Amino acid sequence: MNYASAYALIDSDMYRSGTNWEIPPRPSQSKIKMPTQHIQALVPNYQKVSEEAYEEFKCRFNELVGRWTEEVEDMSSFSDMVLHQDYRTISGMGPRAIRLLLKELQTRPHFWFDALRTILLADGEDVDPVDNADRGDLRKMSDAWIEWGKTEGYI
Amino acid sequence: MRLNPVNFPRAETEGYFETSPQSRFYNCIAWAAGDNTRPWWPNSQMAHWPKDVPSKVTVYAFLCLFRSLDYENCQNGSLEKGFEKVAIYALNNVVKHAAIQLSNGHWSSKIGIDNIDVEHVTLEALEGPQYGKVVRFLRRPIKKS
Repeated sequence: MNYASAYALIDSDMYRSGTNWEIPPRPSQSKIKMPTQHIQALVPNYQKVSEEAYEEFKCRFNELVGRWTEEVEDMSSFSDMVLHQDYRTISGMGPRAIRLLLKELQTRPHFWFDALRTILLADGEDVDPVDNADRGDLRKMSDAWIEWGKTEGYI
Repeated sequence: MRLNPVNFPRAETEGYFETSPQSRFYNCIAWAAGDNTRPWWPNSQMAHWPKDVPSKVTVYAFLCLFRSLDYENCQNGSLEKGFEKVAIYALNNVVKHAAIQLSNGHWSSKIGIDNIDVEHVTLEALEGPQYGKVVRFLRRPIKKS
């Protein structure tokens, strides 16, 4: 294995292993055969690289959230809100964004529920913890997702 | 708080003022329907929409929505004694907004999902690139309380 392929494994392995990350391990879904310590041995400054990469990821996430929030402020249309480029980008950021989205729901609730569902669907999980009667209720929908996140160990 | 002149280029000249602070708990359709607890929008798992109304973002679906709330079609937005009115804004037949008429003939709107409520003197005040133009009017008798 060369550095390039080892680096390519880092991202998914870091997410799934939880090593030095805030996301808990999900061994049942791990597709990675190479243990983290082997990658660490192959890649110099593994810890530093991973922390920097995650900080960069969070920075990018926060930038997209801030811009989307500002740009949809005047939109009444939920169709337009979720079709906004930044919302779509966040929805495509993969499972690493789940914990960050749940944190957003805890601190500044907004309509991130479609993004969460899209990420989970792309990861093979069809999840929707919201009762039909609560559709639209930002507080109740946020609470349902936060509870789900706690149950699943994301927060 | 002032409205964004890029989205609402005629707001300042037509006249408006803020009536409620910024909120993201409801949107314009909910406001026009008399609900300030949750947004209303078709074809979304994140918003409320009545089950017996077509769940599409078309003018027809919104006409069905307001008809289910006892509104009927009408010709214009002039003040009619004994009636309250709703105006539907659309861009290329895609609904973007709704405003409800006040007893003084002005209009009331919740701006977006995350902005203020405003009273605007004319419907033209909110026309522009964000909401398009008013395409339909509906009215219903004012209920005596």
